[in-house]
Amino acid sequence: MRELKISQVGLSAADLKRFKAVMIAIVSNRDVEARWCMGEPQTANLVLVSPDSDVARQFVADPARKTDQVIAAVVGESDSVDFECDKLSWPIRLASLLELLQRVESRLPRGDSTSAAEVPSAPERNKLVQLAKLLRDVESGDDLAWRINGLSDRPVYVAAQDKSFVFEDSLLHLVQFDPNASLEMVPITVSQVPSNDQRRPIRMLQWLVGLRSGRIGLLPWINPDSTFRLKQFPEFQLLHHTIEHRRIAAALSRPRSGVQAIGAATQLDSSIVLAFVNAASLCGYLKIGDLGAAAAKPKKTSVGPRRALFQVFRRALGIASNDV
Amino acid sequence: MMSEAPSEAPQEHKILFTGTMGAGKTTAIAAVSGIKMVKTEAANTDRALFNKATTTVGFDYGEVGLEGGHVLRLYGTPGQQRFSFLWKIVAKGAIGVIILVDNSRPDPFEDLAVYLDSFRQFVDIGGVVIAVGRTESHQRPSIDDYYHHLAERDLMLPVFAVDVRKSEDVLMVLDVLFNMLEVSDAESV
Repeated sequence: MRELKISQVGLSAADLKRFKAVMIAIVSNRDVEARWCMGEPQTANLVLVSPDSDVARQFVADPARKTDQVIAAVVGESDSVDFECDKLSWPIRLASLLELLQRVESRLPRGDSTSAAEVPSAPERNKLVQLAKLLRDVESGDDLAWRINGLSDRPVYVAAQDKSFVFEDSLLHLVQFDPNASLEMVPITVSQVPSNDQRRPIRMLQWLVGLRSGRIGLLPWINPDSTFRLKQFPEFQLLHHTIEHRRIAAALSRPRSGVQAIGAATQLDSSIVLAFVNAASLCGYLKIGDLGAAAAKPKKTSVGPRRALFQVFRRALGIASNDV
Repeated sequence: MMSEAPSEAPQEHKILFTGTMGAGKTTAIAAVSGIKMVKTEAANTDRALFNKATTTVGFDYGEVGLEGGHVLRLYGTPGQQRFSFLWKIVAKGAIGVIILVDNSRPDPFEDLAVYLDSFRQFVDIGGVVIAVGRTESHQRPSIDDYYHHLAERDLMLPVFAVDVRKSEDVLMVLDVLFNMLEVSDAESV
């Protein structure tokens, strides 16, 4: 699957929020052929611009801009634009943005992928899903064990019995495992799992694999239109996570109808939301299903009046680094 | 409750640390306070209940300086229940509460219930995070047990096993509290 990047310049906060929410819906519904990710305007394949924005006009006029980039102006049906570009009807709607993405997909040569090396090919993708499924089912507590090759230079041993894994190296080597690596899951006996002090809770591995599987979208058994709510918060004191994950967790302390609603509530990139949902699901933190009428519909405003105040608190306390 | 981002006039914002005697309130505040803490400790007369030499009888106080001369004040309530009349006084104007639970106590759930009930107004808006200490030496109840216990009370609040001597644990708990309050704000807009 090729990866294409989309970006924006000059959209209003409201349009940006809507754009992100619609993108999450399109990506999670897998309505497009390519893997669409948010990117920087300079390197994106498709850039949405507001023709009323000076910054956007400067961007469009920049001679150093990527030549094969598609520019789409977000304008009303009857409005005209005084530079050459595609149009996307304002307000941004799912059907019109989907139609634009599909048009761009057919226009761009299939080899034009900005970071294809990072997207797992089909066999590797299947292996990643298989690994996720294996780790999901480890919760059953069976007397089974596996040696997993390919996540790092050293193998990872999984023991279902006590829901643990052994990795005889720093976990940092697992945090950014190569999704293109050829994964191998070999059933072994429990006695073949190294018995040492390196046993760690399986949730740490489930979390890491879940986050990385976000690159291929939602895990296939998760319906993007389900209602999502945390059963419990991820064990942040234990798990490698970012401050965005804390934000998503807080949003999911209340029921949300569909991944689109999670994106709307957090205003985060769909890739981060999907990765969190996969990881939280694998760890058993997430309740997925029909939670009835209690599920919160996306609000018109998802930023509370004290957002700026809490950001001041965070800066003063040094809660600013992305990776925690 | 204060609800605005800092403006010209310096503002004060208050967060409360509460929990039983010995749960680690003083340590937690000291872990993140930007000033030398103000402690109101006296000899512990409840040695049979909890074996520590001194305990907080007024309240602990720490603060974090903010941009523009604003201040985030961190208050610790006295742990002994006979000082519970002070809890409401200290809670006045607070934006959120961190409940510290000592897992080595005979009935941590009973302890938790006292504070959930006492700070009900914060529970109702999701302005509470529960931080459980001494889980290394006392693994039961587990964190999963806490969530089951809360679910029985129809509550969904963040619960973390923490070591309040580690500032990163206390900062994580504070950040989750801020996120919970942001969600609460957004839902009420």
